Amino acid sequence: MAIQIKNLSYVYSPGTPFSHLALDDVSLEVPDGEFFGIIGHTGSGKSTLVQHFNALILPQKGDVMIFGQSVNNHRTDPEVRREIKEKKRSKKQLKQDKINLKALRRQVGMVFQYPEYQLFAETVFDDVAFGLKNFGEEDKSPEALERQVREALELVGLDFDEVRNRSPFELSGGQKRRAAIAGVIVTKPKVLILDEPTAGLDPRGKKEILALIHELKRTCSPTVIMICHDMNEIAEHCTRVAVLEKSKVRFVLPPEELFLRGDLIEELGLELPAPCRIARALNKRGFDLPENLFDAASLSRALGEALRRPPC
Amino acid sequence: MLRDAAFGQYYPARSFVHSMDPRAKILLTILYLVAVFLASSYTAFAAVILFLGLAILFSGVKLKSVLKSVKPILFLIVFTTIINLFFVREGTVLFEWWIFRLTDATLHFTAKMALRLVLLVMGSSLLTLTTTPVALTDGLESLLKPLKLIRFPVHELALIMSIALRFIPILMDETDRIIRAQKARGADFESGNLFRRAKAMLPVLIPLLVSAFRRADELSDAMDSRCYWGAKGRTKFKQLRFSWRDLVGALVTLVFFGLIVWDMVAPFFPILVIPS
Ligand SMILES: Nc1ncnc2c1ncn2[C@@H]1O[C@H](COP(=O)(O)OP(=O)(O)OP(=O)(O)O)[C@@H](O)[C@H]1O
Ligand SMILES: [Mg+2]
Repeated sequence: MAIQIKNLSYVYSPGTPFSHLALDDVSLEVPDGEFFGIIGHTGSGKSTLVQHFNALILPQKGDVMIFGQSVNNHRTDPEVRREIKEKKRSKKQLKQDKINLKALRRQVGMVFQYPEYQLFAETVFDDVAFGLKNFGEEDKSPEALERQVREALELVGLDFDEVRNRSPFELSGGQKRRAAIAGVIVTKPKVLILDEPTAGLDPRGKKEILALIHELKRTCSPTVIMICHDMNEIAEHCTRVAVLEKSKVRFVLPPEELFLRGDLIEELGLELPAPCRIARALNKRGFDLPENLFDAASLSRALGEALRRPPC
Repeated sequence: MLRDAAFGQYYPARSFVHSMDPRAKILLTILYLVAVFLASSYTAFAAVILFLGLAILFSGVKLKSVLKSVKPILFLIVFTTIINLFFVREGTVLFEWWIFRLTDATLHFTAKMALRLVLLVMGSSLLTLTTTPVALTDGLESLLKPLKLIRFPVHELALIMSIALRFIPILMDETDRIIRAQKARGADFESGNLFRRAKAMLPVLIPLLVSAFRRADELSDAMDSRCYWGAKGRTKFKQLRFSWRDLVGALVTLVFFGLIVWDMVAPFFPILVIPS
């Protein structure tokens, strides 16, 4: 099991007039090898949720397990708290706990929304190598470093020799995003989390990034978790989808089943994929099409069959 | 979260102090600050504390939130206290060892100094806690209007201030976001010596600077496209108006101010001292 969440709750700025319940008793499981989608209205807590997946936010209540290991560290775990109080656990051991957090983060790569805004180094090479150096690779020789950076850049479709010495700020928008993604996957995380990876791109750029994510899933990170606002993308790519509403997980379903509950989806303020909407509209006018169609090809096939059938 | 640390950030509530006119609040806060500086006897300090307590009571702000504003300057207070312990030499000696000399005057001086700093910060943060940045700059602009006569760019100054105030929380959020993004790539901001930690901040500061410039660009474009043209011929949607609350607030403040001034000058005019 890659990620396991149990009864997780999270409050921003607790105890102030700004306090906000961002997650309310959320439980989830993401097995290895899944392409897991997360969808929900803006402000429903998606970003807060995924930041728990690599221990960037530590749970206030509940537990997060990453590959079976709990992130509940010394500060939150009552057991450990007692041990510290009774001086059974030394400062040194606490330091090791911290390193463990880093090891967890290495296994779960996180691409934030608009990742290009976190580029900072003088050259693309340095920026991509940043994570690699931080995570204390076993093999630290310059050749190994170069090999890994080259692999990562080529994986995201950038020409290593062309961009390695350029400033990341000189790249085009799409290239920047690719370079930023390279900076995350360079450490070969087993789980890759992406927060709205296609936000702000044109349709072609979106397609390319999604193709890239599939490629990454095949070659380096077998488990992918993606936050996405676009139902079409979710429908096309994900194996399962979690729908968040008002800080709660409403349901977790494969897309085919999700779109059978069209009324519910629309009630949550989300938009169904275009083929679904067409099928639903036609059904209201007397057609009898299945409603879990979410690509143009299956819609046209179903429509063709329906039209060939003799009218009754 | 960094956002929690933003001191003196507006505390939304409905209260007597919240609904006072920002101009009145600014002027009365200045009067309060002067009073804190004038206060020299413990009686005067007691009066200041009583006044501050009243103001907090009628502002609906939790005492904890006001006290929080002292935290960032705690170091300064401790530091000045220690310095004072060394440099005040006169008074009856209570304790002497090597170069250190503790006298009763030292103790009084230090206590009053610390008290003064805490009261200064708490009082001024009460202003920002109960006044939105927009109201604050509106009030300031209106108060500074006379300076327009000497061609002082009052409106521009107020605009700069309100933009700066508005951007503080945004940049805080942004910093938070970038820190988390770099942490996800294994950045470590907590270990190592001071030098290493400062260096570790580089991957945060550079993107922050880049985004601040980007935001400034976008903001100026947005202002241009809405035909912003400076102060000339600009009217206000929200007119500032004094109300009875401001009168009450001013009277109370003046009474306390008078008490403190009296307390200060009384020793010089024996006729003023109430015979006991
Ligand atoms: N640093 C913060 N401090 C206080 N509140 C926050 C903070 N970050 C997020 N929130 C609040 O928590 C709620 C959930 O935020 P989150 O970013 O998880 O939403 P989201 O589902 O990712 O939305 P979006 O689709 O817009 O990215 C929002 O209402 C937001 O206002
Ligand atoms: Mg988000």
